[in-house]
Amino acid sequence: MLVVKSLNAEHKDLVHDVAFDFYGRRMATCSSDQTVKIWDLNDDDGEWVCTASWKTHCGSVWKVTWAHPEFGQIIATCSFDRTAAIWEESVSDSGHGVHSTWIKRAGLVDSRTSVMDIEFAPKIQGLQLATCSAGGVVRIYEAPDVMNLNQWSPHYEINCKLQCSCISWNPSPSRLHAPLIAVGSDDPNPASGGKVFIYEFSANTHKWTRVETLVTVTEPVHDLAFAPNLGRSYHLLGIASKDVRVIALKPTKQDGSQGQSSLTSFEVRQAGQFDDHGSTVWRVSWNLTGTILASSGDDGCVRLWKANYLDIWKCISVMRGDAVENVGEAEETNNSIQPCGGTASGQHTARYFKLAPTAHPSHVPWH
Amino acid sequence: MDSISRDTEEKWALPDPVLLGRMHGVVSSLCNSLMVFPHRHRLHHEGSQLEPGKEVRLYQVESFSWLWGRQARKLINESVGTFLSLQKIMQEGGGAEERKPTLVKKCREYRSMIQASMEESIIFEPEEVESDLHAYGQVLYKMELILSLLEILFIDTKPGGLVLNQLVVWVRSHFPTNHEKKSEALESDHPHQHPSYWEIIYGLVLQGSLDDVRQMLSHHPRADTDPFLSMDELLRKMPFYQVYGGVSAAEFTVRWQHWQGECERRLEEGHFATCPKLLTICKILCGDLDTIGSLWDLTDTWYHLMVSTLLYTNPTAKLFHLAGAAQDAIEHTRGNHSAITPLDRILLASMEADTHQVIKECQQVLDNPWFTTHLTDLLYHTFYQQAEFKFLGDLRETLILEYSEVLSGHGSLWQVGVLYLDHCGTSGIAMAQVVLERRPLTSDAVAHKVVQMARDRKFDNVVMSVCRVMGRRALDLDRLGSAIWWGVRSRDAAFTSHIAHKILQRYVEDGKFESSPLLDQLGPAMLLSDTLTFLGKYREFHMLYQDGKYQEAATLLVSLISSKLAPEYFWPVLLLDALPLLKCPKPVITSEQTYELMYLLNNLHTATTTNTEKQNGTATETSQEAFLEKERDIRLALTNNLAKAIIKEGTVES
Repeated sequence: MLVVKSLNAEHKDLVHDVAFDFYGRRMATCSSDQTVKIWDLNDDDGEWVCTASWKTHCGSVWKVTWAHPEFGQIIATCSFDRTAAIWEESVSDSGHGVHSTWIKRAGLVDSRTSVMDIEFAPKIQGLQLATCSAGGVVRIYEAPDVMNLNQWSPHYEINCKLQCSCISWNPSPSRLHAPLIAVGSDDPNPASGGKVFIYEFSANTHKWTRVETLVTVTEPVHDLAFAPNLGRSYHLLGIASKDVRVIALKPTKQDGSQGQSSLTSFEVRQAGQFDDHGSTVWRVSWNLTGTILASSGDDGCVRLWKANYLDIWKCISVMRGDAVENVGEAEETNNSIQPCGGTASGQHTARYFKLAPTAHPSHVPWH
Repeated sequence: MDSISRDTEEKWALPDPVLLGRMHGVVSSLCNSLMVFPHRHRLHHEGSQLEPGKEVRLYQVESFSWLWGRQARKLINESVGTFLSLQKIMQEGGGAEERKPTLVKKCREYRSMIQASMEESIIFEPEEVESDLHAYGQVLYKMELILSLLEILFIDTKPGGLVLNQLVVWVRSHFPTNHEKKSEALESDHPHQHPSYWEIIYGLVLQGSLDDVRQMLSHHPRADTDPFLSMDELLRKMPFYQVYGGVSAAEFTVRWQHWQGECERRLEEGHFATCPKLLTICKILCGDLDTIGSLWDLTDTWYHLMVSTLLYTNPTAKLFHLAGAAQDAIEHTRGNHSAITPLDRILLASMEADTHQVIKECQQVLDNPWFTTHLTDLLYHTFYQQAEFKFLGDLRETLILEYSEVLSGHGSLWQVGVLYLDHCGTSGIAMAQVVLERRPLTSDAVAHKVVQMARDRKFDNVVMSVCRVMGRRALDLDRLGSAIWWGVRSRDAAFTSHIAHKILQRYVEDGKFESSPLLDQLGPAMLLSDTLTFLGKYREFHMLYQDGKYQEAATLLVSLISSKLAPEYFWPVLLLDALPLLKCPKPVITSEQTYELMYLLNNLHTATTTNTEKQNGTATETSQEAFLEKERDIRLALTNNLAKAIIKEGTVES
């Protein structure tokens, strides 16, 4: 059974990204209205409360991302205005409760084109941040002194040669794996070849090198995400393109003669390819255990994918966004959302309601 | 028949007014909460894309199951104990014969837990919505029914593999209405006038409760007549197979055939011609399928019908007979009954001995993995090391992961989830680390709990991470003492140095120490970073000075100065601290040490004067000015002390 809560995002324009903090108790939203809002989960009633809202950029804010809490309460944003920015929360206790303000610690202005995606590295790599731009450049920044967020040095610049749309760090916490970044391109020309690039960092040469191009993905890629790795011997990459792809990257064993400086090579296996959306897929995201992939596409659906114990991926749930005609009515009933799909009684007026399945009546777990 | 394939996904609808249904989802947090929002491909536009009057809404979609309810809490907490003790015993090893009694016992423990919470759900919770409560009770009932069947078929297997006796008991205990009605009838003055007197009797016959049947018949006014006496004899003589009764199955079959032959003979001879009701009973005893079939509505379900049929047609039925019998019974009931329910499918799969199918069906019907997890674990241990059941190992791990993932999203049940993960191989360990690391540290108590659980499991990285986060949080709230405590625990040298500097700087500013008791108890932990060592030692100096141990205090102070551990901004403080010691009537600072101090003072003098030339109006300037005023004083004290020290040292030597 699914339970849905809805809340007003309070943004004056479309929301582009929602990001949860490490614990899932804070949420950041960013929008075309150039602002970012921070939401905190209220312990008493489980509601999200907006605790900060401020103008972050001079253009649409595409993405927002949280740093690991070990480094403090830090978010990074990227925007159409060609910049990325790093923000830190400053808490003051005024006597009337704790007040939070977000202070801009750094503006990253190296890009000459719209900055499309941004993500902090796994904490094992220190306070590092990767950005990618529509101009096809991936930049990796680092705060060498984690106690001083005002200093960010652009450590590496990788030219992908194709316009970039999305970036993802391999979150694998293992010390055995060299840092990996996957970059996706939404270049519309299929003739330009593979649209997903894997870069690996070599500690010996201090360089990022492209170790893999997924040649099977030639359509524009709009989003990609490495799955959290809980003891798997391979990495899983979810890709949003014209369909949903799940790609397994298995590092192949290196023989000792090649020496330590050699780069990892991967055995690439397609674990799943689904065109259920029947249209362009825009977003993919994993749950924290890397067991469920959520995808959303132009068919207006969010689909959840899960592998069974034999590692066969299947769609386990579909959520469809339904256009509602009578908006006024929806607002009158105390901000509730009406269940769609016929089988529900339609008498719920509370903010919470149990979502009625539209396919068949039995309650099947979706997790 | 339910025409929809069970493998299809579920569909849900979210109404949203903003866009024509273009939704995006972001999965978050361990409990798989999903945030969905309307979205359009990002193209830069001037002006808002929102139509006036519309608002952007976010939808948080979370799975919800009865596991979250208060009723299930006891079930969860009790079952973890049984689960853990089962794992422990199974790890200790032993042969199949040693394992079996444990497995049967544990299976019964699970069943009694389910029954207990079923009873509770009936008694309590009057304020709950009735339909919800009813549904919850139903789920529990079905789980118990399935588990008890599986116990008979796979876990509590008897020598020879004869299952019917247990199945009869299973049917009796799950369809108690006949026995209840029997007591009701017997309590009345004229039992035979009970409106369903004969129905009760037929029901009891179909459940094999022949003694009860005889008791009922004896209350009939014609109980002394021949047909009744004849029936009583048949009922009394029906043989029941007993596993340990000393009678072999073959021998039992002979006796049973003899008895049924007797029933058929009396039927043919017309013993019951005068009493059609007894005739029906006799036909049941003879295993007449038409008669049993015609009474099927007394059995409620096909599985009851199946057991009743087998009881009078094939009393030595084994597991492999059940599949066919079940099919027949379903075939028979389908005409009257509607679709096959998921429960039917599970029971059928059990009788077909298709454990894989059973688990799969359970998984799809129940809205949470509590039952499937424990069931799979039981079966895994039952079929331990049997090649055809190899899949159970992987399946068990997957289900345990899933179950503990559900629990880990809960504010207090997450600890239970971690206990399960201890018995789930390498992926369990990886998952336990994630669960612990991602547990929201809502209070110090939670943090301590997480640290302790992580330490018990030797997850050093988790301990470190939690301590760092707590340290950072304390720093954000300006609780420096707490920050340094967590910092030391996390062994983060850079972080503790930073905090130590902050504490020292604050001391320079207002002459007070934050959380001094904490700093005084650092012990060897202070060696983590130079600044922290200095801070700790400096506190030690203060203590010695307060205790009047001037000699030791002076030695420590000078060693602090000469070791160059002190940050530069702290030098003036150290020299000012030396001042009262220098002024002691009896010299406590030797001439050697005085030279050290003089050297430092000179360095400081040059540094300060060059600094003052360089920069103006900084915060440190005021303290530097204050120091310069005192400089004369210090120089004087140094020279005096040097003179005294030299005299003293000279005196001792001679």
